Amino acid sequence: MAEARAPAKPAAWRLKTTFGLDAALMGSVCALQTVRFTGLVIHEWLGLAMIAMIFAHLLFSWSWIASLSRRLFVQSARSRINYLLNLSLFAAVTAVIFSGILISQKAIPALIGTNAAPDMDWRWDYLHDLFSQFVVMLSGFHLAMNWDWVLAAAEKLFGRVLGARL
Amino acid sequence: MNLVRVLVRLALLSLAAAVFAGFTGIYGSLVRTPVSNPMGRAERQHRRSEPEVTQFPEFIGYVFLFVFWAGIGRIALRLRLSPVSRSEVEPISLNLQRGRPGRVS
Repeated sequence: MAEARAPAKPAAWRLKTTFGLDAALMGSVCALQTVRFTGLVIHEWLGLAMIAMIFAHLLFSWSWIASLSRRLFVQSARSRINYLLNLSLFAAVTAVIFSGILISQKAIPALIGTNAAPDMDWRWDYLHDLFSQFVVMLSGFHLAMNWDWVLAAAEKLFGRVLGARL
Repeated sequence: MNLVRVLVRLALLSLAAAVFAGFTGIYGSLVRTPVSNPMGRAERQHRRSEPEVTQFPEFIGYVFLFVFWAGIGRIALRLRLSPVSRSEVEPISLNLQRGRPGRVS
């Protein structure tokens, strides 16, 4: 009996972790948009923490990524659009983090032990803002694409009442 | 074995990220950006390091913006990308009873 029940624990752990991570990512995307609310220090460190969160998010979704990458052209239109959307989101997040590192005034100078550049690189500042707007939009679309999964996971984790309300 | 698999996947993800970062670098060096006004520049150059709780409504505003885009996405998906009629739609199985969550993405 104990052996038959054993697989349920990793599944529950995995679901909880994935759901919590996704919720943290959603909150972080919104928080990172408002530097005045978080302050520059939290903004930059949270931005760097996003790298780990996104990699973990992608590792949890690896089976989907691998299977779709192998057979992209025989998938349905919805799956292909979803794949393209996720790829665009990854590209946009990479662009935001890359440009953020280039204009960092707190976190990166602290990590590499130098002083922040006296003058901001305004080109990268502009592109950082631009790409971050794309990230919010594409993250919203990403949530929309996976809404059924979110509902099912919320129902499983928090009970049928909350799931039904959503 | 599992650790090796995870490391290989991380290496692939890092490689993909490096490629996109390279593209961003090329794009950034080629594109012409509009010149912002000196007042805006001065404000952005001297942003506060500490959080400002009074700016919480701005955070809520971005949550609403996020929800807005998700709503637009839902509408677009239902109208354009879901040709299957409602009567034919089957619920997504999470395979939770079998031990692995079958996540869509």
